[in-house]
Amino acid sequence: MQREKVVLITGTRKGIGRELALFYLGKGYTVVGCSRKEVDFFDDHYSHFCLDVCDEKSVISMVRQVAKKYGRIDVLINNAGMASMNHVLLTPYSTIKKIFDTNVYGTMLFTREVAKVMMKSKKGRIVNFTTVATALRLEGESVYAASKAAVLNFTEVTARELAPYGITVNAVGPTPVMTDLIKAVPKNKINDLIDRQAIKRLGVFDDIKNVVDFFVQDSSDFVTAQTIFLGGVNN
Amino acid sequence: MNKEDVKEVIVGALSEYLDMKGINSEVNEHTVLIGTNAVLDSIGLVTVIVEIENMLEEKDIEVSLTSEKAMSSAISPFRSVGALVNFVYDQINEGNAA
Ligand SMILES: NC(=O)c1ccc[n+]([C@@H]2O[C@H](COP(=O)([O-])OP(=O)(O)OC[C@H]3O[C@@H](n4cnc5c(N)ncnc54)[C@H](OP(=O)(O)O)[C@@H]3O)[C@@H](O)[C@H]2O)c1
Repeated sequence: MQREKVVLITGTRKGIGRELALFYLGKGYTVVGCSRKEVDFFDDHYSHFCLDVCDEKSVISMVRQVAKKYGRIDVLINNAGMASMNHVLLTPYSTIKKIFDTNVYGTMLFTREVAKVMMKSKKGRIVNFTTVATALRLEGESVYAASKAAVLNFTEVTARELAPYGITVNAVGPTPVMTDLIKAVPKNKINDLIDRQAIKRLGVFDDIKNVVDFFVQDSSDFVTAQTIFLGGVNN
Repeated sequence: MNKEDVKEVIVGALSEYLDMKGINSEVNEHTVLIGTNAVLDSIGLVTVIVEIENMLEEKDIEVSLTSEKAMSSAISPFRSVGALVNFVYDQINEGNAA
């Protein structure tokens, strides 16, 4: 029996990506994930690739294998990301490069390769990850925020480029959610950030799943080039 | 894969696209792919290039037509069907297949 949808999610080992993988498995979808290390969950309808999202050869090979096996990819969720909360004066070049490699180039590579598969079915959904830190021009996160600004703009332009093929491209911009990504950020910094939201609370996984799943719906085929920031934040 | 086979794939991909778009145009090695006399608009060219990659991949030939070499070459390999046939043939035989 063919499962409902084939969803490719990057960064499924932990945090939001893991939650999204379990969420879509729960909905009866086939999920293919990747991260540099192995995952700790098992499901007959989940397969995992250990790779770095900015390694072009591995990305091409993964996407080809998935396309061969399932004949299509319905949804791509470019979730893999890394942050470095640091003043620009204290940020090493190696960190700058790693952040752009993962957040920007990884998103670009997966978009390019998966869109080639989606265009054959003349439909597809791509969801990218930005952050409220971009919208808020958050001090202490200049490189991370800039990388996610790139993702935001990339979302808007690729939405136009891929529209003729029936592929929508949108982005979600979460507020802080308790994952390893922000565990090193001091509590007062998080509280300052939350204070700038219209709704002043931490985000939870369900907030993100809700927005991602809205973009993924078949009925969202007229929604593209949009970014939804959570918590009442505007760009 | 010899040159004739490569040509067959390219002509096949292009003809299929033109058919789908209802464009009536004979396809041979002189068919112009970019510029003012081109049979394709820019989105058409993108679609056909990806389709050629896909068709080759189905034959287990993995070649990337969006290599830096293709994009930076002074005389574009996408200028005509004949030029593209030569380019793809060279890519396959130089072991540049990705
Ligand atoms: N948490 C927040 O507060 C927050 C807020 C706004 C936006 N976001 C965005 O949400 C997304 C997910 O964040 P998260 O909080 O879930 O982060 P996380 O808990 O740190 O998880 C990151 C995930 O990405 C994978 N990953 C990281 N670098 C990778 C690479 N180079 N190649 C392949 N996989 C890689 C990690 O697995 P491996 O280590 O095994 O590779 C892990 O599965 C990110 O894009 C982030 O920017 C998060």
